[in-house]
Amino acid sequence: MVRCSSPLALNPSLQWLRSLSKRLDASFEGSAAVEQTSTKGESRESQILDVLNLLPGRASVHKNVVIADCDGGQSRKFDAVVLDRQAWPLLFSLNDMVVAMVESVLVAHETKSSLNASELEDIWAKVGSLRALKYSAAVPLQRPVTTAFAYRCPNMKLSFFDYCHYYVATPEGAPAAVCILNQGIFCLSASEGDRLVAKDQAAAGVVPTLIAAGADSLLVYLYLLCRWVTGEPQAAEVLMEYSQGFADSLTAFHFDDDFLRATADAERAKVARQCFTGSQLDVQGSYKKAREQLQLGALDS
Amino acid sequence: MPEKPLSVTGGNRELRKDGGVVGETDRVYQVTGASVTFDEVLVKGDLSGDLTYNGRRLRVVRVDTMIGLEIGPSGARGPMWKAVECQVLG
Repeated sequence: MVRCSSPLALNPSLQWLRSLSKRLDASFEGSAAVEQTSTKGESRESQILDVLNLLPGRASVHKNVVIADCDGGQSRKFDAVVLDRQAWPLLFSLNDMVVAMVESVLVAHETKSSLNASELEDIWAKVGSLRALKYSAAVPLQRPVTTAFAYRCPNMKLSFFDYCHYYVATPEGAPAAVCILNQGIFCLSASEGDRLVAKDQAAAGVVPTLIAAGADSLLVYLYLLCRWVTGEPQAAEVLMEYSQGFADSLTAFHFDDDFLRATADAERAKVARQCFTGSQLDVQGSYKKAREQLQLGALDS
Repeated sequence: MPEKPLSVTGGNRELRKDGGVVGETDRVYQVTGASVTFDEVLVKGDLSGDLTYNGRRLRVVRVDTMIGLEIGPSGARGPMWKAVECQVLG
């Protein structure tokens, strides 16, 4: 049996996912000089499939999927779709294109080269088109989880502000998680006692949260996908045991309700957003400044 | 500052006694008040005395229905307790 001999040695699970993160980063850099934008985009969309393929066997990862409902509706195209092929048939298959029932979709995934407000808006529109599909009442399953992955994000705290702003305006269009390579994750969470619990859908009491996981963002993304794809906590909990205590140290940041309510107003949102554009302050510093600008009460500490 | 510990999985459904699993709830329940009522508990052991559930200490105080074997579309399972009220001890 091989174990970490030194307390300073990185746990293998963390190391493997960090290696994968480095490979994704290198592939992003490597494709940067490619001038054909569609070729470059496709290459970047394909790289992330390695992460989705780590999910349990029930999850079948496909690139060219048309998601349809029983009324003939179709969603906009996602870069990758994880289907439950054990329980559900396909409606149609031709070469590498498949038409799938919306009830068979476990995860609809979108890949972005660089995350900013307009890319978030695009994600919202795609998720909205999926949510507009009719979901059979005969299937007592949860709706598809929607997630996104970005290789780069020039200003994560500003994008988090935008994620929150869009969430308040259109919660049903929110992706459950947005992973930004080597920076962090935006996800939805609900407060339960003295902790936050990650949620896969918008609901009453659910708030947008930021997990500043840095180099381990991909691992946290894998935890979340594993939890949501299996529909039970067990697989994700055992997976977390492989990173020995890392999962226990996770924390998440969120804006207070009064701030979210205040920034629902377009003019006040503009004032607050300005506080997140600079690079001098971290997200909490920018948040404090934005609260002052909006003349909201001081924070506890 | 609004920063809190994050749980990815939202806890589990296991009722434990002395470290062993003695029951499983039908879903993950949030335990916040002085008591909690589980809709269904699949009995796997001795549910008397002090139990732990996602880090909280509980004790069963009332059970509405006890079924030896429940037959459903997905097969048979049991013993099953319905509407299990527990006092939250800590």
